[in-house]
Amino acid sequence: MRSSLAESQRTFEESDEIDFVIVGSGAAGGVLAAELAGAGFDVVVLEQGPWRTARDFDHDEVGHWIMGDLTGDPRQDPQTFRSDPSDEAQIASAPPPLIYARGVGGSSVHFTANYWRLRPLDFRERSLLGEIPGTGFADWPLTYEELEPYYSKAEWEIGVSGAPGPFDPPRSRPYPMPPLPVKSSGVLFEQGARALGWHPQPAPMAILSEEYDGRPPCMHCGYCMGFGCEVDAKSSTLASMIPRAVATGRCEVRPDSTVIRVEVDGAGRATGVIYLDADGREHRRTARAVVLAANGAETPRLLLMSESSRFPDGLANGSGLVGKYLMFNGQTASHGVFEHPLNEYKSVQVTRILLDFYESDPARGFYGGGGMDARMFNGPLFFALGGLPPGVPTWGEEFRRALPDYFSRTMEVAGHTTSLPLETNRVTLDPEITDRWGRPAIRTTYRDHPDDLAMMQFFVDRGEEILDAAGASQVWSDPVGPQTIGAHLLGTCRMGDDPEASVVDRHHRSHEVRNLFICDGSSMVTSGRGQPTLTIQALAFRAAEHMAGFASTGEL
Amino acid sequence: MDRSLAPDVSVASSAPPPSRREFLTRSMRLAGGGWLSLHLPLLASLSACAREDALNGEPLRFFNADEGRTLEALVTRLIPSVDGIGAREAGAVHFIDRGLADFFAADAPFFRAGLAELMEIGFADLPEAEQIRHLQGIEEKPFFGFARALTIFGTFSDPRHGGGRGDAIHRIYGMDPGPGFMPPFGWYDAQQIAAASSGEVR
Ligand SMILES: Cc1cc2nc3c(=O)[nH]c(=O)nc-3n(C[C@H](O)[C@H](O)[C@H](O)COP(=O)(O)OP(=O)(O)OC[C@H]3O[C@@H](n4cnc5c(N)ncnc54)[C@H](O)[C@@H]3O)c2cc1C
Ligand code: SF4
Repeated sequence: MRSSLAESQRTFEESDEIDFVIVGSGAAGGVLAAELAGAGFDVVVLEQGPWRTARDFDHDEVGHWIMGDLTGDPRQDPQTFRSDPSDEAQIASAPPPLIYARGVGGSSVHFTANYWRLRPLDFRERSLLGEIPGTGFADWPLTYEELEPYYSKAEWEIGVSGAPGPFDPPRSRPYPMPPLPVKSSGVLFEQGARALGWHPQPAPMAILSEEYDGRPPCMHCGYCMGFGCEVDAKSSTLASMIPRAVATGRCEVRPDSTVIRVEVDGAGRATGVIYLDADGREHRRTARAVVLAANGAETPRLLLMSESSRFPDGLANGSGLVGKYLMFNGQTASHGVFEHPLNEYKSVQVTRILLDFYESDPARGFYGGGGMDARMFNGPLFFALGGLPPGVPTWGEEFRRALPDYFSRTMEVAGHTTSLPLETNRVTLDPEITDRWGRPAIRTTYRDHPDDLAMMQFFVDRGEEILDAAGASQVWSDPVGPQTIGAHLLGTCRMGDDPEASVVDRHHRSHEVRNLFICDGSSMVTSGRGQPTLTIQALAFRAAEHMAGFASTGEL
Repeated sequence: MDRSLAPDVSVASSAPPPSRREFLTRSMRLAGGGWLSLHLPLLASLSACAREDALNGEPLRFFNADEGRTLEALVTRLIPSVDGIGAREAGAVHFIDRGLADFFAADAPFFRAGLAELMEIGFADLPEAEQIRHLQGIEEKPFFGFARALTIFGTFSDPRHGGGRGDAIHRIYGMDPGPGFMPPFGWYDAQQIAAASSGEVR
């Protein structure tokens, strides 16, 4: 499990002076590393997980979903969860409440690769719609227009397949590649949605439909969501940005390096980080600036763990908002059975989406919006666990015979919704439970806002309508209820101009520690409509430009 | 009680049911019983020494031979063999045997207790119809839900965990062999491609 890139990369001694140390090599960290090293700075990336290559990946559902092959062994890296602040958080079994992959490339390795832009309205919904009492609903400190060039840059640098849709925001460049071939779920979704007068469109995916940048196109293996790509066709940062960062000769990526503390000097400036190597030995990595890209779960844990007499509530937490306003996006699932085989087990998860219900509509009576997609339910293991229609036996001979019969003929329509930022939805340090390194476990408190649940129900209803209109012989949905697991970890160190109401400024610079930058899912101010990663990466391209600017003008 | 200790099943099964989410919890919840809410241990490394006992000539690590036989009967009823492939042929027993000695060690006492109840009634030697009737009577119990989940894991896992043998995943589902595929993938996209190439505009 050693990347050949790892063998050939530039390495730095602990005594070497470097410009940036980046914590985390995921969706954001990979971009930051390539951009900063590309701009001529010396960069060290510390990543707590291993450096896998495409050859290390496999299709084992038990290993991935139950035993935590990519997300971490739940026995060694436990997380705790509660729905309400008054409850005692319980240790959750696999999969963990906050799902993310550990390893070079981070969660971009196992993500589904839905790759949507936000729209102009997402950045100023608070101004457009007004206050929502009891929530931290706010405008972003930047506009779509400011971020647009970086959206285009991300699509071209990362490698995205797609085609324009009827509701797309303005774009300065077309998609670099045509969409992936449509699956049967996409064909049926299109038929159903069109019959209802709606506007389905090809799904933008961070997956190659053609050879691109020296990487081969998708071979449609069908084990995509939750798995690493065995041919590097999924545009994870492991496949796209990390090789570029290393090729500059100015970036070292250190896997198996777990950062446990950000260090600050007497003047309140960050001096570097303390990290543990694979054997648990402590090291210090000093740098001119520290960049946290450890995701919406781990970035707040690290800041809270870096408390000191000067920063008693955690580093960079003068606002008290570190860890708060966690947003998952609501996820819904409706299922349908059709007459002929769809064979959804082949190819990528999603090939068609629908954005007719993106904006909040006062006529619905609650805040919220989102998008829908047509997808495969999940792999063979999950189908046996819970993929059959209600009423079909769940064990015994009839069950055994139903598996092949239904597996080929079912599909899912998923809904992805807004999540309102609530102070009570947050990441804190568990007071008792610790992980293999003695770090306090991530304790999550989360309960969806009633409007988010209403929006989820709205999509369940629309999903069933589409499946009915497409001619499904049987349609059913998962009941809507408060979510206890999130794969989108957003908002826990939000951006903003006001130091009282945000953790970082519009340049991802901590309001309090001026050479500490935070750029990952935690930066998001509102949740968007369900596919955050393109925005996270566009923000990283933009942030890197600002960081490079500060570094060159002596403003670190 | 320290929350990191092995699960207390009565507590686990009275805990609020886990709610749904994307693609997983749903399935895990449907997997039955309180399994999802059973806590995994922090420190769970039962030494995995191979035992004398064997099933079909293969040594067992956790179970004795009698337990192995009962477990084999159980997994056979849960996912029976059709066209020569089911949980037994996939090696689900060996997956569970290894798993309870390792990854699922915290749940091992609970599972063993449930198996003991089946052994008391001589489950392995009951006629098939009686085995089925007995299982119908315990379907709602956490042990049943956990056994079902483990049997499914064992049938559809990668062979490196001891189960998933005999190409069980592909044979049970009738899937085309991978690793990759080319379009058309299914009947509906094939129809669309055919319509497009015959000049029809949809
Ligand atoms: C199954 C699944 C499917 C998904 N599908 C989609 C999708 O279709 N579309 C979409 O937009 N999003 C999707 N997501 C979400 C997407 O993966 C994340 O939004 C994105 O990867 C977040 O980027 P990030 O940079 O914030 O963090 P990550 O990509 O998670 O990277 C953080 C990295 O930091 C490392 N790290 C953390 N703490 C430390 C530490 N203390 N020391 C050293 N290293 C550390 C981690 O190991 C990790 O590698 C999905 C997520 C999952 C789990
Ligand atoms: S479906 Fe395509 S992109 Fe996804 S893992 Fe398989 S080959 Fe890679």
